[in-house]
Amino acid sequence: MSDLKVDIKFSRKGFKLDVQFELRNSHVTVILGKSGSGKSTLLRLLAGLEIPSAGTIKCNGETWTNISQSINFSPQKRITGFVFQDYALFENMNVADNIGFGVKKGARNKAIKGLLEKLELESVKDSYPAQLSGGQKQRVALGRALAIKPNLLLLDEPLSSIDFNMRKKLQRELKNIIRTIDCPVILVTHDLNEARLMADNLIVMDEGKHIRSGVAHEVFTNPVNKRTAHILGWQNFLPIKSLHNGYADTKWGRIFIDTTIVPDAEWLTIKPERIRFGKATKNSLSVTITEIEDYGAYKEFRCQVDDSLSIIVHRPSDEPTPSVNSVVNLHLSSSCLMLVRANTSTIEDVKLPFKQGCYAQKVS
Amino acid sequence: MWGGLLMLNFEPIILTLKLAFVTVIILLVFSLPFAWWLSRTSSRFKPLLESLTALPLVLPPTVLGFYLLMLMGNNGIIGEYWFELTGSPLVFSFTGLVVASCFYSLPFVVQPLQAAFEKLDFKIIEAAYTLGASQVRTFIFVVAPMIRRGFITALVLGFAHTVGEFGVVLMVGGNIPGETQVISIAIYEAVETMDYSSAHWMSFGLLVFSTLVLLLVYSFNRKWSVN
Repeated sequence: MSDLKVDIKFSRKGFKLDVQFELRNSHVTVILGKSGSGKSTLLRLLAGLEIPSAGTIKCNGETWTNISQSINFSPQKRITGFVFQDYALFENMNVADNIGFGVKKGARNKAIKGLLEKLELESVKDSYPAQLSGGQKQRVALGRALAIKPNLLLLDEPLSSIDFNMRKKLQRELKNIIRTIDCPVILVTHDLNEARLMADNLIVMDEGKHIRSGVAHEVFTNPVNKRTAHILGWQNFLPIKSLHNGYADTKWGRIFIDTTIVPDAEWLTIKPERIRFGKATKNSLSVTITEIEDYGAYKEFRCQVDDSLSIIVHRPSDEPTPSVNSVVNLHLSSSCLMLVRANTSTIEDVKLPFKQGCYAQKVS
Repeated sequence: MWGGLLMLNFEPIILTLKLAFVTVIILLVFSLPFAWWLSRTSSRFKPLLESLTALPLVLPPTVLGFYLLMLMGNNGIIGEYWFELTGSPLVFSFTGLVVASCFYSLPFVVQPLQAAFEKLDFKIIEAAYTLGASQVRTFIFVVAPMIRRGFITALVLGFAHTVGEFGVVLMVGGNIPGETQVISIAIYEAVETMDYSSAHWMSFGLLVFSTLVLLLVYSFNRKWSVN
């Protein structure tokens, strides 16, 4: 199995990236973040396509980068299979030649044959990239990257240029293929659903820093800090006055919680789809609906609590729902409320005791 | 009229083809890295270098020829150095003609190559690198096939433009049979001496040659754009 240890800084035209993480025996690690968060740059740094301004990258005990010692392996020497966003297939070569490009002559035919079979591309082996569907192109790009038996397989938003319906199908296909690969995979995406579907471990990035990392399930259920929560789909944040065992006091009264206590938490958060309209109870807020948008599958309600707080609620479109300007009660289920800290700027703040997988750690 | 064809002096034709061949080889060797650099750089000197490269497109050949004559003459910076080095003058020689032709045909080679490089998706080069391919292998198997249209256009236009040059050649090379008398100058001399038969056959040959060359370029471009 493999280890990857990354502690790098990178800066270009005002953009700064500063990332430290470690992967141990991790299979699929997803780097999730908004556009411009630096996730693709991080992937390029791992592949050797960009040179960090400082830091080290170690893979399986081998130093790929150590800027202070003037070590920086070329992309050729790292042997990372890189799948680009738009695949970057060689348009002048057919499918078989694309797959075999990185393999030495003696082993080429065998590698091509095996991957054509595995990726179900035998029927198009003589076709050129321009003649392929989106799904076939993706498989060729994967095959080309896998043919070199990479130390790491790096996927840079491999499905972002594909339309919604096709993307769902290809996500399943990609997941199935990835599950059969025996090298560590790092996939970059801004799509929350894609991250949920693929990730064993998750690294959340924002503004060039990684703000939360760990086993995917744990990160998704406990975002810890406000920025991570926002990226993972939490939209409503209520500031806390004081936190107690089982409840939190807020400007809008006492709210009971049934969740992991995060030390120094400053915010209560809840996802829009977890809020229900209902009668006044101990965990409810009286609000005025100011706006309703119908998105087909669900309606989005903008509810004003007072001048300082509005809450977003998503309810299924076929459910009977109140109209604009009506005054209603929102029920905040204690089990759906989450505590988060204020935005953090250091990795120390998000360090959690994960037993395996992906570690955010302070590097001294 | 046909008799004129048999009487034709082939020396200027051979000299012209030799000049065009040598010029285009030198230009390709120089222009490939230069066009690559121009296509990738964000240097503040880029507009200046692009303008200097494109100058032969807008300047009268006599202007370019005049300054080249000044530079390459025995008292010019290049000419003086050349004379010290070789003991023979650079102007009114075949070598001088090659140097002048390289300046004159530069934009016809650099610009198609630069356009081809600019159209090239840099990610395919990076993809080749991550697959372990060296820079040389990447250029031969990935870059070259992708820029072949630009390459052929540069090659053919550079060659054809050198074949057709007149003003610069006359200024720098003069009219020495077997040394600097290229086809366009031979035509001019034939007309001057009222040898219209020779002028016709040489002009007609150049006309056919130029048509064929352009036909070749457009056919290649059409074929590759269909593919």
